[in-house]
Amino acid sequence: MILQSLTIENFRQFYGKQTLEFARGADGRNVTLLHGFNGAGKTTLLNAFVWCLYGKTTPDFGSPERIESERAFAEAAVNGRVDVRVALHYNLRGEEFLVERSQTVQKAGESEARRLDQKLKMWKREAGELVAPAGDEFQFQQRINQMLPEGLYPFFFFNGERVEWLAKKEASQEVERGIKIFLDVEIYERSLKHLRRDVAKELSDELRNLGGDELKSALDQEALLKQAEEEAQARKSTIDTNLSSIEDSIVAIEQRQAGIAALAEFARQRDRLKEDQSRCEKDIRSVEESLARSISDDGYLAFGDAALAATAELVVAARERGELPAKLKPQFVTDLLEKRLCICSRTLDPIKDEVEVKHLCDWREKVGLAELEEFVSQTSAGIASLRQRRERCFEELERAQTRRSALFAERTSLQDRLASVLDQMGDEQHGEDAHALKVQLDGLKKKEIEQLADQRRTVDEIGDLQKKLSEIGSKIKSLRVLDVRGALIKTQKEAVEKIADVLEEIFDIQKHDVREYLSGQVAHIWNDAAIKPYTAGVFDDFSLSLTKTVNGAVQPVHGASTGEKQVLALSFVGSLVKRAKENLENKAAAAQMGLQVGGEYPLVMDSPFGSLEDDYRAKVAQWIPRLAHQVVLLVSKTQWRDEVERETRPRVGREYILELHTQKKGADRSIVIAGTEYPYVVETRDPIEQTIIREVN
Amino acid sequence: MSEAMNPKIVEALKKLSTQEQDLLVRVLKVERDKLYQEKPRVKEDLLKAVREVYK
Repeated sequence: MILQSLTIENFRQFYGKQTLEFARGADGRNVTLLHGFNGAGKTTLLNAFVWCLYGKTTPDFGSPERIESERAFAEAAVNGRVDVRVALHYNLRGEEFLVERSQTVQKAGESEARRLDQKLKMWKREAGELVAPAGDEFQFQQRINQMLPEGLYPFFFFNGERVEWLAKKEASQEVERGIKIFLDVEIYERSLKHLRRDVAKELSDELRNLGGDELKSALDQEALLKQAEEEAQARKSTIDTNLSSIEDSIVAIEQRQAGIAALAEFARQRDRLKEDQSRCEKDIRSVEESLARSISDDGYLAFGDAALAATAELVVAARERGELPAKLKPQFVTDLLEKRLCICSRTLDPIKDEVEVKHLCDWREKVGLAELEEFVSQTSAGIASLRQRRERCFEELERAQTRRSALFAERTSLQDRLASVLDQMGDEQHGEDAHALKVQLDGLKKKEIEQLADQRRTVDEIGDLQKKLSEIGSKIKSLRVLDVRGALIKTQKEAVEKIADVLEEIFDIQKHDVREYLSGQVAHIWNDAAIKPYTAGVFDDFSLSLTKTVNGAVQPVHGASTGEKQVLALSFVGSLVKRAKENLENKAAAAQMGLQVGGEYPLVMDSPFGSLEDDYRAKVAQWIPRLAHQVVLLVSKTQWRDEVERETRPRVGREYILELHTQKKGADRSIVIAGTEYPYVVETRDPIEQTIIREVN
Repeated sequence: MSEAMNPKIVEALKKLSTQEQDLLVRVLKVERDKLYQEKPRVKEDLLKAVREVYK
């Protein structure tokens, strides 16, 4: 989607018809900049986009039902009408569209308004003319949603001061959904769900009516197992959500505890002990991995002592019997035979000396003896080496076990000390709040343990059901259907199941790749911008992550600042847009299979630099225009200064001032842009405020 | 920018016969057309695609 222009008419403080043209990236200038004083209409303009596309406004838009211009309403006669319109002109994959949403407001009394239904119209350019495509309003809305789904507009039209919601754990579902839809992962999940739940089931039902008793029974069994698996998956999903919620509550309570003065020192001790616990657990895992490696590599030697000793004894015995070293070398016998000589140097006649020649041939057959000698020699050396390795393995195992025992003891000690600190934190002497928090925490931890146990059981149950489903699936495949129609349906069912399996595989690959990519991008952008040594990324559950390393252990950062969360959220949005753009560029191969289409998405950001420090502002200003194809920035004077202007100015292709006209005395303000002074706030005698959009040349 | 599809996906797709790949493309088209509907009704369209490919 490439924005061309936005026309607003009688929309809040924008009286009459006013149009904005957007920078589209010519000469690398992809930023459209709008300067506006507080209340001049920056948030209103952001909402004009949202209203035009979806007929609604953002949650922070006050009095959303009153979208009409106050001035236009005042000027209308009673029973007269005010037409509110927003039209968005854009290009989508090479085609040009115009979408217009309008609403008529009838002036029923001096201050009484009757709002009529909204209307949505759409035009598409064909042969140079804008023509209305076939379809009704519902279908036009569908087309808009195909281009930019309604639920996901907050990723692209947002207020920078509130964007940090994306960085909160509870936003992980929205983040995951956004990732799946924008990056073309959702389609696989939906397809395989519909194929398995609806299509395969329908075909099974048809087949059931055509098959024999055994097939009917197997299909019934399969249906029951599928239902049980679906229920177990739903249970697991609920448990996962519960666990996530419990973890969040625990963190929140621990933060509240830290905020109580009497508990501050205990909270510090608790956090230190938890860090130590985390490091100790990591060390235990490391020692256990080392133990497993030693056992896997050399563990067999522990049982080889008898075999090694017996082999050594056999070699000694052979030497004592004079069998080793071999007294006769095979090459010596071969040479005698070739020269026709006896071992006593007499010349041999092959006919007369037939017996002697046979003896020599027999000896030559004993060449294995020399090979045995070589083998025994190698084995003797090997036995010594294996015995040394065996000793070393025992030593390493002993060291690792000693270390593990020490770590186990440390873990127990840390657990005891932590329990003691937690108990002290709940002591009533620290106040009722402290005690109540401890009681809440204990309750939550108990629930967490119960949920973890349920999770384990459910995962096992799902594994068991999937195994049984696989078995019954194989059985169904092996059962023959005599009827031609039955055979066809069986083939259809098998094809659908196979395609669903492949789709599941593709879904997992895509999901994994996309998460890895976004995590890498977010980390890269964060590293570039951040001051603190935190690591940013995307967790497996698709929540945005901020972690730190303490004593070698990775821990989540709790209590990140609003600014840090904003940078994290912006780096995520930027990465998402970048990937979608790459998917679009990458579509040639993928489109063959109807996979990965991707897209170009603009970023429309109100107050994009929110509450960021100067360093962060400069970085955000630097990378946002590089990641997104098209950017619209709505800024106040204080947001547009120094480092932001320095970084963004070379990218600005179109620039406007939202000139606010107000009755307030002494309100006149001006703004200097590239050395020229422009009116910013204008004092007027008109009692109704309005904003005029002026382009900066 | 690589023009190639992820090799792991190519490998997964190779498990399907030409007929199955044909059906997969049709399935994805049906789903893409209704991807942005909250509760899309695709069952009949998918069954139709199956019956057209396997008849």
